[in-house]
This record gives sequence, C-alpha cells and structure tokens, in this order.
Amino acid sequence: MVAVRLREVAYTLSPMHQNVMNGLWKDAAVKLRKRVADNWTSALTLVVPIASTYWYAEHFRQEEKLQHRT
Amino acid sequence: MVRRLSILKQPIFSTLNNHLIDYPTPSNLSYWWSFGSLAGLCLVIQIITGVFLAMHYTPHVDLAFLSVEHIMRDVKGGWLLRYMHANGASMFFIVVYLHIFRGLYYGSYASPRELVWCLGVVILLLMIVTAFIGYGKLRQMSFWGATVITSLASAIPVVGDTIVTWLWGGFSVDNATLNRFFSPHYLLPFIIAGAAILHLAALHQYGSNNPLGINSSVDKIAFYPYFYVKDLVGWVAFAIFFSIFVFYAPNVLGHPDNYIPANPMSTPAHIVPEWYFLPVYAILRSISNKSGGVAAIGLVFVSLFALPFINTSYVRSSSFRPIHQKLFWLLLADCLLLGWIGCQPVEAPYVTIGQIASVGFFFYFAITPILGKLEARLIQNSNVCEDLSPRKLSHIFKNLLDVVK
Repeated sequence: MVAVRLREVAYTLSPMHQNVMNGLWKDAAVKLRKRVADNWTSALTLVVPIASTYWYAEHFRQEEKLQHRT
Repeated sequence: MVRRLSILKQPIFSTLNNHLIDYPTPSNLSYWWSFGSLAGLCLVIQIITGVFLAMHYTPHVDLAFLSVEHIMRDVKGGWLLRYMHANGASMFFIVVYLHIFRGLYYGSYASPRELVWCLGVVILLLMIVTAFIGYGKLRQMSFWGATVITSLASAIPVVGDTIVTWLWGGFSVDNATLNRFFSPHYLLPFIIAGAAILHLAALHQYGSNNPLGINSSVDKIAFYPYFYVKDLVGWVAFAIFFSIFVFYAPNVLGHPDNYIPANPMSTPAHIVPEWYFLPVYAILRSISNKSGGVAAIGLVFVSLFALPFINTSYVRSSSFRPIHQKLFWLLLADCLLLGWIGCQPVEAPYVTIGQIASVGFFFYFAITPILGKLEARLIQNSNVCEDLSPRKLSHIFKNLLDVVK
C-alpha cells in the first residue's frame, strides 16, 4: 500500500460557518447550460445510432408488410 | 489531531481500519464510484435471500415448480424472498454493468490497475454462470433456454457431445440437470465473494482511480466518514429503485412463459434468455455457424481481459480523450442495440443489424491499440506541442506516469 498523507479536515468550525454547501439550486440555470454545452455531442453520439437503427427496423418491417401491394 | 480508538490498532481491527476507515481515497470521486460497494450489497442480498429460499425449494423435476409456488403462496414472506432474489439478480447485473462502463470511461483498467480489471472480469464470468444455473430448469423459458445454451458445448471438437451429456446428466435437461445445477448455484456466490475480496485487495495496492484519471496522492481523504456517507446515499437510492421493482413490477424483467411448467414436447416460438444475457446472445446468434458463435462469445471475454494490455494511451480519463469519449458512447449505444436485437426474432432486418452491431462491438477493442497512439500524435501535431517530437512526447508522458505510480 502506498503511504500518503491524509488531508486533515478541520473539525473546529461548524458546516454553517465553513459555508461548505452553497445550495443545490444555486445558479441551477447556469450549471444546466454548461452541462448541456459540455455533453450534447456525447448525448447525440449515444442517442442517434439507437434511434436511427430502431427507426430503420420499424420502417423495414412496415415496407415488408406493404410488399404485397407492389 | 483526531484521537483514534486504541482498539483500531489491534490485529484484525487494524486491517479493517486501514482498508475501510482511514483508507486514503481520492477526494474527487463522483457517484459513479459508488457502484462497487453497491455490487457488494447486491451479492449480500442474493446470498441471504438465496439461503432462505433454499430452505423451501426442492430441486426435483416433479416438485421444483410446485415448491416455488409453495414459497410464493404458503411460506411467510416467501413472495418477498422470491421477488427480492429474482429482481436482485437483475439489479446485480445493472450495478455491475454500470461499474464496468464507468471503468471503461475513466480508464480504471489502465496501468497499474490491470489486475483489478482482470479480477473484475473473472467476477463477471462467475456471475454469468451463477445466474444461468440458478435460472431454474422446470419452467418453459428457463428449460428451453438451458437446453439451447448447454447444447452449445457440443461445438467443442471431439469431446463436445460428451461434455453436453455430462452437463445434462443424461440425454436431455432433466432431474439430474436440476441437481447438478442447484449445487454449484449455492456454492459459486461464495467463490464470487472471495474473488471480490481479491478484487478489493488488488485495488488497494495502488488506490482508486478518480474522474480526472491523474495521480491523486496529493489530495486524499479518509474513506470514513466521507465515502461511507456517499455510498450510503447510493445505497438508499438503490433501495428505492430496487423496491419499485420488487413491490410494484416484480415480473416486468422476467418472461411470462416462466409461469408455465416446462414442457419438453412444446418449444416456445422465441427462446430468449434473461435481459442481462441478451447482448452476448445477440453476438452468438449473429454468426450462423455454431462453433463460430461460441468462439465469438469467447472472444468477448478475451477482449475484456486483454483491454488493459492493448491500451496504448497515456491518458486515462475520457474527459481528456475526445476521440475515445465518442467511441465509448458508440460502444454503449452498440451494447444497447445488441440487447434489443437479442430479444428480436431471427429475421430481417434484425439479423443484419445484429451482425453490424457485433462487428461494432469488437471494433472498439480492435481500435484501442491504435487510438492511444493516434491521440498522442494529434496532440503532437497541434500548435501547443509543435516543437515536440513523438519520442520526446512519449518521454514526458512516461515521466508523468512514473509520478502517477
């Protein structure tokens, strides 16, 4: 096991005085915009192949059903 | 300085203290690092519910189906034990798959944690075997699923048919199969527990990875209370998710044909395994030759084992590897597609989609050796590192890695 120095957390101040939790909803709009801006390409990379493949499969099955009309 | 209880310095307790209480953990771990302890929780749930179920289950061909109905209807809390065990298996696989994909994204498999990764793949294999043999054999879908998958062993040259007969304990899935499957189903979870302890021991040799993928020795905090509390939040969220399935939708992840007693004279129209086997099942079915399909399944696990050793990137986390990041999401999309294909009938266009998706799955592993070098070259060719030769760049990264280690 690698020996490391543990960061010693101050116990003398209460969490209220340390201001450790700034609020879940603080700057929520900014945080959301940043998260979308950082990850929209990844989200598209995940969703587009799945959605397009599913669409193609459904389209193929539909065309197959209508084959008798040609 | 915080006072430490003297008991924590005694043998056994000192080991617990060093690995669970004062254990140095990177301070920037996200909730994606909670899935490890969740997997341990799932194992404990499966063992406890399984032991109590085994007190009432009868592994005999004439009584197995009825004994499960007896558990559901007559045993006090039997319905809860059964649904917790059945859905607990699904939860276990959800947690482990998320744990694996987290490792892929953040490069937790990379040096020096190769052993951690390989032990993890061993645990996955043990889980798959345990879940398969525990699926029961006297229900329509589980009987035919077991018949299909065990008969794959006949693809082994020379001794294949002998192995299948040995697995079955006869010439078809019958009473002997039930007994010889139930016994290791009871044993293997304890082997998994042992493998999990080895997995943790290997992890604690170098410490956990972190979302940045860099050396975290400069900023570690004690596991207790910070990550104990963080994991507890994960456990509570898991308990809520688990409870939704157990109490409100206990059969949604199963197959309705499993409420029909096994009938060797009637084959279901579409034989499908449980959802967590569907991606591998899709890869198996995408190759029309039986031996080829079995070889493809073997290749899946060989690829997983080989991943740390074929990786050539000096950067771990995908946060700093834009090409790998996109490939990761494509791999995830591919695995989800394979899962969908696995439960579709073997007809057009699903066959072609399955074959393309199978190739896509192996493409990720095939490109891994090249990707690291490509990304390093792209960094070298960018304006930032114009004056650095590939040799100098490699030297810098190697020195960085030495600092990391």
